Amino acid sequence: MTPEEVLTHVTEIFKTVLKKEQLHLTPATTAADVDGWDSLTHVMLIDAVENHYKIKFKLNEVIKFNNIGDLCACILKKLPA
Amino acid sequence: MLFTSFSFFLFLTVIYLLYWSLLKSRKAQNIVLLFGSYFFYCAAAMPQNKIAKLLFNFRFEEAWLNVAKGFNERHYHILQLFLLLWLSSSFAYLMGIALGKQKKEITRKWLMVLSAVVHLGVLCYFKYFNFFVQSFVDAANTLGWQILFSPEHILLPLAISFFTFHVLGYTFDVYQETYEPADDYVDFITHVAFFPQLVAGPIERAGHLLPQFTNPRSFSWNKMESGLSQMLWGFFKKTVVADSIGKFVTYVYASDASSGSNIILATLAFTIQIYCDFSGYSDIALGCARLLGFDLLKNFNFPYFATSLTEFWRRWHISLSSWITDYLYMPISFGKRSWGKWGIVYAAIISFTLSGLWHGAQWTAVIWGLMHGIVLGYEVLTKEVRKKWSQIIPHVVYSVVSAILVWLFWAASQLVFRSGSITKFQALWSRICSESLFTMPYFSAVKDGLMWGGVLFLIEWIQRKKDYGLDLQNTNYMIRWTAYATIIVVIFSSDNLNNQNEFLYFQF
Repeated sequence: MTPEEVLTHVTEIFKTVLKKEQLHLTPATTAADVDGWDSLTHVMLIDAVENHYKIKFKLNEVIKFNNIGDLCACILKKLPA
Repeated sequence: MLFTSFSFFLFLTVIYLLYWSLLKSRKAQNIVLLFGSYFFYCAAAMPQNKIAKLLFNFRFEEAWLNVAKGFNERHYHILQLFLLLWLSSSFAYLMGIALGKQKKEITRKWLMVLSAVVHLGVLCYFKYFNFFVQSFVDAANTLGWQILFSPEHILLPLAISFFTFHVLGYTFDVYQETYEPADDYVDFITHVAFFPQLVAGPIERAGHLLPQFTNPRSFSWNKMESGLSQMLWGFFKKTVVADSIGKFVTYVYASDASSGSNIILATLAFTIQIYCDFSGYSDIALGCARLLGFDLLKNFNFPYFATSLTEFWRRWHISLSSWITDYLYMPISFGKRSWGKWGIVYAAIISFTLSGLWHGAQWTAVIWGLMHGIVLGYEVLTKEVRKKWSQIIPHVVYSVVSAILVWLFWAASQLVFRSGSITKFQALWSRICSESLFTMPYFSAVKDGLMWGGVLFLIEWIQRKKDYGLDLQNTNYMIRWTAYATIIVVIFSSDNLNNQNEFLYFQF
């Protein structure tokens, strides 16, 4: 899977969880850029991403996500080659 | 030594002059701050009259006689305080080094657990030992076990809750590899003991404050003016508003004859008192640090303008709520993420109940935290419904009604918290539910404080996009200095200037 495909999937997941029809995510997007992405919805987003890809994140990994790019990179690392 | 005392003014002047005269040596500046901070910490544990005597009426022969007599209980307490602060920060430094060097995950985890057990163990002994044992004994006696317990005489070390969370946050950050371990011992222990934030926060993060100790500082007139004006705003909040209201609140809560209407008035007034007291303290701390070239974390962001409790906690005691979010709420909600929204509700309730316990070793504090956790959980579950309402109802009406509801809930929770014990709360509640609720309360006893509180909130509303109420640095020179002069006159005209009261958050 390519980084672009992961970004597309993640955008769709964010749209569903945050209930937003219009949402444009880039690797540089942070929580501050997205209305509704806060400490309350953050774990729901992580859970939705895990369920979609059938992967599990560690707390140490999640804490270090500074932007969407970090999240996508971690997903790619966990997906089978 | 209170921030509002003359002895603090003298102390700050000496430190300030010495500190900036050593501009060429960052290390020497840090040494001045280290010794100054330890002196401040020990002096904070001394009564005001003792400090005044030390500063203005020092007699060598008398001091020598006292030394010859040996240490009394107070001397031991001050020595104990100093050792506790020094050992706590030194232990955190060593654990940081150990965590940084260790590569095996399991060993790192055990080091983190050891560090947490030691820091929390010390905190629990000093702050919660009597509370936990007494609660256990009460529960056992209710079951008919007949256990006798006399509470231990344990003096609560000043600021222990604040510096314990400060160093624990550092340890967690190093463990989670979000921050590199500190390498300079003096810089590290100085940043923990740094006097403006030591006694009642903001609870600093090493990642924010420590680099400021390892980098050189530069003097700026703008920073000096900004620091002094924020201190001035803090003095105004504390001396003119909080202390005026505080007398009435203390009287009403202490008296067994207070009417229900006076209890309601005192509780509403207490919300203004606690805001002006604690945010005033934070303003003085931030301003004082800025005078020395440091930026501390913003601790308040006009919380009474929040339109939900979730937003309120992003604006009130921000350094504690972000600490709780990062090190308690996040791990708990992450562990329960498969529960969906209920996992978040669960994490909010647990985190805020523990936050209540941090505020005081009493059941009313725990209930206070639980109340906040439950309402935060309610807000998580009703987020979408409330969003729909906000789109139907005109924006101004929705915002004003929501802000008032948040404030009323805050006041109700403060009634529980301020009562201090379940028995006292029951007594207050029974008077609120009596006919005395419909008598006229003593508005005249609190009118000055409420009037100045109104002025303060009006100014803060106008300045809500700024960092603090008196943040006027980009305003016209004449307006700015007229405002400063007016605030100084108001502070010096206040009767409370001569009757200094401790800051409420000192007890935590």
